[in-house]
Amino acid sequence: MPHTHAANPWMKRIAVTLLLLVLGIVAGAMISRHGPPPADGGTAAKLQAPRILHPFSLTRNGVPQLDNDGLRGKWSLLFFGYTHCPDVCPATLAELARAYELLAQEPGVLDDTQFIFVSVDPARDTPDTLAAYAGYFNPAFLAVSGDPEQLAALARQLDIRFRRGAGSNEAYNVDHSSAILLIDPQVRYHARIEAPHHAQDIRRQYLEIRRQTPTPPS
Amino acid sequence: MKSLLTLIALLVLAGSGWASSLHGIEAHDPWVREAPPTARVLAAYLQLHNHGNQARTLVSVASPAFERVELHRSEEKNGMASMVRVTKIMIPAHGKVSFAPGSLHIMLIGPRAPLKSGDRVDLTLHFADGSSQTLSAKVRRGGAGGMTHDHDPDHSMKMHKGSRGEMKKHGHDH
Repeated sequence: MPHTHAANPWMKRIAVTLLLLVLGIVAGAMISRHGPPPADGGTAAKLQAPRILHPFSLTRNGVPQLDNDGLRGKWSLLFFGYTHCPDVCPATLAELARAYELLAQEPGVLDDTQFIFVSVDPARDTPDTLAAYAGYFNPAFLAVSGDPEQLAALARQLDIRFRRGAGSNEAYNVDHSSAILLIDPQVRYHARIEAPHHAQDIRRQYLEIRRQTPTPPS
Repeated sequence: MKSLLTLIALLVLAGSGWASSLHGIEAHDPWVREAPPTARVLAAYLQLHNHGNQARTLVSVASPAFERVELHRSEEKNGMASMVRVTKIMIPAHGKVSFAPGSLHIMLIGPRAPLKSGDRVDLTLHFADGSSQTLSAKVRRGGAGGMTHDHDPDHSMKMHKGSRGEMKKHGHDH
């Protein structure tokens, strides 16, 4: 009898401990399946005063890709990147594509909104490559590039920086600002959304800025 | 009493299942972000849990589905995103390392065939102690949060209550 008396609580304790361990492991597995929480909600900064874009022009082999007129009359969300970018660019474009879907639920918003992916890697990103790349995320997405000097001239106006980074001839990286730029229908640099990007934030911040901005006389 | 013994026996048996991983590296949720068919570079993500009493060091990853695999970390400095190649990653004893969008990732270069959601990719992890471990990663669509947000209530909740995501108020609306 004393034997069972001693063993019972001891065994119970082991059983409970093991049970808790197993439960803990299951719970841990469930939590980790959801991945780490998003690091940050992302922030949008509105410029003190919208800045009119100086004339710019992006061309490929003499063929116009984008200039000031291409931005007129619409809100444009610009993102600079390159297609050999495995992490930040496809993640951002996927979030932009999701933001597009969310904005589709807002009456009329997409009628005067365009999404433009600007490649800072014209050497590898041909117009065809770019069109296929951006179109994969959303067929409505535009993708453009230009000569390095043309790109630099546009990027400078938008406080976007880019430079060729580490890597060999074929497999180099391009460091680039990861902000999403908001250009208003009067072709003014209006606001900037910093990474990390999430669709819900892009949607909310863009709609808020739209609401605060009086419609220009057309 | 008998049932208690049975329970313990069952638990011990179940326990021996994870005893093997107690001394090993366990990979959680390995996945590859689906990319445009023309993409030359993709990324894989996962969490590595080290159940052992000793730190382990990941030195390389290989995959038959790609010409080359490298370890990289995306870094955000002054609003500029860049990638830094990483040659080894230490997973502390009883610790974990997360490969996640915008941070550590397994860079998959030169897919031998286009990959789409639902495909599986073998990844072999090589450790400094000479050991290796092969796992199967699923290809799926994903954004910055690591998954499409359609079925991710946690994520949207966080988005709604996050005050840091709020628009910088104009301050003086004049």
